[in-house]
Amino acid sequence: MIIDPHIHMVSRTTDDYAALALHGIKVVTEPAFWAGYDRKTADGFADYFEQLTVAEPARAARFGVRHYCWLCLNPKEAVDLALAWEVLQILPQYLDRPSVLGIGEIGLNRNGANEVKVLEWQVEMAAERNELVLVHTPHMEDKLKGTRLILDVIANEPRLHPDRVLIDHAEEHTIRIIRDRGCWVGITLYPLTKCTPARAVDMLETAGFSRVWLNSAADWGISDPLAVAKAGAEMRRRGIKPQQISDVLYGNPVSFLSQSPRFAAPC
Amino acid sequence: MLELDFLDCRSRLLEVAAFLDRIDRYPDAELARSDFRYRAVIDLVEVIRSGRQQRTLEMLTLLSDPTPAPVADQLPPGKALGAWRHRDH
Repeated sequence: MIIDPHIHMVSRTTDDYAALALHGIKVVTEPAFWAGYDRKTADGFADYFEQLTVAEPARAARFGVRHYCWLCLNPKEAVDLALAWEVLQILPQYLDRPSVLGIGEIGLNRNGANEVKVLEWQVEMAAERNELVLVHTPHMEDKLKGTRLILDVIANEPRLHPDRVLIDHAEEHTIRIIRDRGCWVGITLYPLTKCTPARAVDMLETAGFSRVWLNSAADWGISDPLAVAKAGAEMRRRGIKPQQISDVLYGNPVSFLSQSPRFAAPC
Repeated sequence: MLELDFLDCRSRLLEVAAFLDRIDRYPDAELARSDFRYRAVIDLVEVIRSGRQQRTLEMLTLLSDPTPAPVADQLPPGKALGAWRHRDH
């Protein structure tokens, strides 16, 4: 059994659900993200939250896949503070729905001052509601700086325990600073802008197999919904013990996600 | 590992060399060679040659914005380019 804890199924076809099920990926968790265009109103976000909490779990269930989600205002649409504030006023009414695991993927995109402000608002909301948090870190040249800024925002909210925060899209230059702050680590298998299964397994071999998950973050871009299964194949190719493989692909996600009362581990 | 992955590594390095040759062959090659991204590629090759351990970490750090403060917001936000524009300044 495999969990893909970060995949954007609203952007994928039903054939992808069939492929996930065939490859043993029976649980997915889907963070709210940028749709590839900027939504202009809070109502646009309300429709998206409805899709994530109602339509997508039903679509997944047809293929025997359990679908959970995370809700938030994503960092790429966090520059317009007035719109961001409007969206955060409607967000809480969706957070208690049965498939919602927490707030995410919040974080930073270009490390802008408004992005940081909106991140602080959402971290405060997570702390007040005792929600799990899934964090997006910026791409490429912005990642190291953005990861440091994000970790500082989290450290400045003492009500939010880092054990309840997963920092995603970690790479070789950020994985240790995330671990040093006590947060969980996500490694994203995404062509070009993130990392390959081979590099992800290199990171596991050098930084360890604990408190880390792998995800595909497959979305509307060039991406691979089977990337997590392929990382499993890469681990087997290197002779990594089956228990360690199972921990990374299943046990670790279950440990982190089970901190939410709305998550039920599959049998 | 060498037996399994050498051909893949060889192929990727040849792609890098071909990319640089392509730039040299096309118009405005001089302009491209002065671009921060072209210079970053050359610096990354030096890291590969260095023989030091943790080359991936060193290369990613070399490409990163080292400054600590948030930047001015843009609407819409600009795209990440893959290397920090101001590294030589």
